[in-house]
Amino acid sequence: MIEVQNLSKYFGKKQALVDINLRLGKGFHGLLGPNGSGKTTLMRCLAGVLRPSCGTTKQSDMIGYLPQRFNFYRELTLYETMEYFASLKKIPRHQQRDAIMRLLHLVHLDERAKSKLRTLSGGMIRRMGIAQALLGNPPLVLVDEPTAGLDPEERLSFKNIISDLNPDSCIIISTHIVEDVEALCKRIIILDEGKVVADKGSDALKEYARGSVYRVLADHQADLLPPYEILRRERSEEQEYLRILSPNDQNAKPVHPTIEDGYIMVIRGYPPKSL
Amino acid sequence: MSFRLQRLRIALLSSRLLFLAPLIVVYFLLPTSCISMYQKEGLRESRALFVYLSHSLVTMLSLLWTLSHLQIWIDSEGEEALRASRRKMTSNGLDVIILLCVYLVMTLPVFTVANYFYSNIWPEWFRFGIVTSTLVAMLYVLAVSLDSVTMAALVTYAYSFLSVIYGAENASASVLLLKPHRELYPGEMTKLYFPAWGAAAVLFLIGHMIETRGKN
Repeated sequence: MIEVQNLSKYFGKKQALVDINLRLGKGFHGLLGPNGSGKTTLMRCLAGVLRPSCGTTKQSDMIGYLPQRFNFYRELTLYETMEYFASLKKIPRHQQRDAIMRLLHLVHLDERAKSKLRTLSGGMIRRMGIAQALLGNPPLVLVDEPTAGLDPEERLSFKNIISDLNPDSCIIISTHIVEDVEALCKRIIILDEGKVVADKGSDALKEYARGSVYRVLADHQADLLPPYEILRRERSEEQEYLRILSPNDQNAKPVHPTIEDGYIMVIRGYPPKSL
Repeated sequence: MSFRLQRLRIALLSSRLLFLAPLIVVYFLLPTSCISMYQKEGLRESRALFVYLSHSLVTMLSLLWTLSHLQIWIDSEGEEALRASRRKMTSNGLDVIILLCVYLVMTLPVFTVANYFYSNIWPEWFRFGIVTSTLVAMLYVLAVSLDSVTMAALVTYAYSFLSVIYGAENASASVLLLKPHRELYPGEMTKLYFPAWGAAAVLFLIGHMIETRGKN
């Protein structure tokens, strides 16, 4: 579905992407990385809106792309915007109406089809963004930071819509929020400072952190051996616990890792315990 | 082509005021003003007013249709989704040229009627067409190079207004294309306006190249 070979991108002297090689097929793929790691640059190169400095990308002709910042021309109605995209994707005129209304129904916006975009909330615009990306059933769908700036309810609604997408397409979801891709993506690619630092299945990413995640009483924090990283504080039965990540044994029983734990391990450069 | 026309229709109809303003001026304001002037001052003054309005107001309003199209592609934050949908690094040059042609054709009926009353008005229509093409090309190339339709419109309108204001005093200045205060001088078409038309073609080509090269 998409093949990337030796892709690099420079902005002036700064190298934003370093020799990226990827081959992705059908299904959901998560592109994770901290802010500034090069995710959006990579997505823009894959979408063909940014020219790579070197390297090649091979992908299908039709692409659905929801950019990170998507706030379309506000004087158009929702239906007109979709019609505009449909004509760009050369969907035959007699099929446009059905295709548009089906997708607006999918993103729960069919009743707002005649509303001007300036009257819609940020969450609705994002949902329209995914609808336009899906027009024409593109074999490659790129979704960049889909839940950025959405309130919790809109985020949940958006995640449900994404999970209903056709898995026969190659769907790449770029985000810095691990939770957004945790349930969906079987393959996770982690970018850091423009490089692919991990390309693993979601289970393999969890396993990467196995033996390195501990839950200790907060009162015992002083006894912990550095280096360690507090992932979060948890409270149960009047006791406060720390969920920590550490490459050292911490005189505690390791707990089951999550994808987020594996992600933090990779980003921090901690080696897995099994090595 | 039908998809392209569909998009242009959506762009024009969505920006109602930008779309309607030139139509109102060309089909209502221009004829009524000229008829009124004819009744007050006679045919000669009426003709002068027709030339003045068509070379100032109607020319400048031609930019509005291009603006309504380019705003979608350049000023809105969804432009990356548009470019990804179109996939190839194509440009808006042809769309802008189509809009320009439609605008020029739209003015033809009024000039045809004017030619019946004033006689020999067609050289003025060619002058109008060339100046309009040059301004639209200027707006297009500025919009794609500055990546802002608003900035491009400001610069183009500033040039147009200065040209109208100073064109009267500097009738022979070749950098001022809008000279609504007078009719064509003999030989001016070949000396000034044909080269301006060539410049418009070059500007369209530059704009097209900037767009098709893609973003760095």
